[in-house]
Amino acid sequence: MHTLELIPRNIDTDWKASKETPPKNSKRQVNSSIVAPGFRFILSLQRLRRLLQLESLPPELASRLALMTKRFKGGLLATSSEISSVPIRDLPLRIEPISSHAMPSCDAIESADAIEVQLNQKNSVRDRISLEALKIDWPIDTVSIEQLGKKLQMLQRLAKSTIPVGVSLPISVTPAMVIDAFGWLTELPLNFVNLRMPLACLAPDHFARSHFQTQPQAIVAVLREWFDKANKPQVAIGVDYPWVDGYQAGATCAAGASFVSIDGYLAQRAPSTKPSTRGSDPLTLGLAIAGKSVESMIEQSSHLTRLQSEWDLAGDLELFALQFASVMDFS
Amino acid sequence: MSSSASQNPTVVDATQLSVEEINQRLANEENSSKAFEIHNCQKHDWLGTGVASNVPWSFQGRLGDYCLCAASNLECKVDGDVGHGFAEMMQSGMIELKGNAGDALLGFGKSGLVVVHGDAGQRAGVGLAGGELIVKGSVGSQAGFEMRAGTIIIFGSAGALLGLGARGGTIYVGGEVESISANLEEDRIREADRLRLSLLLLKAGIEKKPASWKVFRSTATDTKH
Repeated sequence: MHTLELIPRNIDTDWKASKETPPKNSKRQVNSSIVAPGFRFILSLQRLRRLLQLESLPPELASRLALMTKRFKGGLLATSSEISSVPIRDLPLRIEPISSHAMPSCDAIESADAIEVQLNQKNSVRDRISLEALKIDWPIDTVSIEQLGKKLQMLQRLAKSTIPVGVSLPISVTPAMVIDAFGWLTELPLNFVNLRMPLACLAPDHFARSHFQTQPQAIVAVLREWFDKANKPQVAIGVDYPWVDGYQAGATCAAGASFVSIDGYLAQRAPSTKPSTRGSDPLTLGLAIAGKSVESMIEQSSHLTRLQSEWDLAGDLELFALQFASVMDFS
Repeated sequence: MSSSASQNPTVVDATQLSVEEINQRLANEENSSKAFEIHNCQKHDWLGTGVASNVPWSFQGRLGDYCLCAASNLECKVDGDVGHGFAEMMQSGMIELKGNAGDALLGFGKSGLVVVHGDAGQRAGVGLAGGELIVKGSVGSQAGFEMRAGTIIIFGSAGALLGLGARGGTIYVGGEVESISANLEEDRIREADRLRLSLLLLKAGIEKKPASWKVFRSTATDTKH
């Protein structure tokens, strides 16, 4: 998954220098300051380049990004493979595809970088553990908060080290309904909450769809208020959403999100030679593609190889980044 | 269970010990050649997470939630009831539980054998990926939920939606089944089933068994996860 990641500016993350050695700052420092006012804008140029399948970034985009990173006192984020070499405990969150065929093992758990419990509204349970991350899916209707909390603590003990624990939430309700449904989140020992917006599962005329299209920041604001009231301001909030533009993403970060995913934004702009897959609903398409990872889609789907020739992703991204940055400037 | 225990096992009274203190003792005993016993467990949660041992261990008293999770190579007896998530993600070995178990017993177990002499709660063997579970009593609803491989043997009755979402594995039931999910189908018991049952029950030291078994298998053609 590709993300625009926001890291507090007081964290020294010279990623070129940190390829061999993890950042100096400890996880505690990262987590304690993750929602500090003022963020550092970091964008993976190499990841972006790979995404765009470009030999090199257009000079104007590179210079624009360099300007932005300077403005935000930021540095250059490494590629995803370089990120993998950095323990996740030194990052607020890394969202990477999880290997679904990996089976649980003690070794895997001990080297896990993060625990993410994904709560699903459908009736399914999957425990998936890879060397890089540990992810658990639980159905909301069958798990009790007490059980979930104890399971998280058990996994922490199993890891034999303090590693970030997070919950990934499907948000298909209004902010008011979020309070009713997930108010117990503050009781969990969490480091991050990742909001997923499964709009694809909603009918095109579902009332919640239009609500999300305009107000993802409202849900983030509710969550942030909860965690602040619970004296847990260190909990990072990520949002995976098919953004309309960078302003919307920026406003969401200003409302309390710590990082946002841009998969949905990019995927909405994906060309398709198959009308049946594109459909008439860009949100559905965006999530459908995002769910499979844009990178893998590029590799696997021939029609997406037209990205570089027919689709000005770089321009879209630059615009997104500028819009995002302008909101952050004023927040 | 085999008896390789030392004549004089190390005995610890858990009455005044915290979870951390007990777990530290267990960690210290992992490479010991002497059998190890913990008495008077007080419903502690998370006991023995990720432990491994080559000698028999024994717990007396009530264990809390998520105990003996991801344990490896254990030869262990628990004389008492246990809470939810017992032996979750078990890697190998054998655990004999004299009492009852809560929900999600042996969830996501990879290998090994758990024998429960009492009853088990809901979703026993959830996500089972290769382990074997024997419950001499009855189980709650959704036993074998999302199981991918392995064996569940239930002497008593099974609750509703047996094998919901199962994509592999085999479930044997000696008593009544409230309802089975669409993911399972009842099959005739074959010679291979009889052999498997005999071997597992022999391994568990169980002689008395139901007059007849019902066998249920996943309807999924692809049992890979």
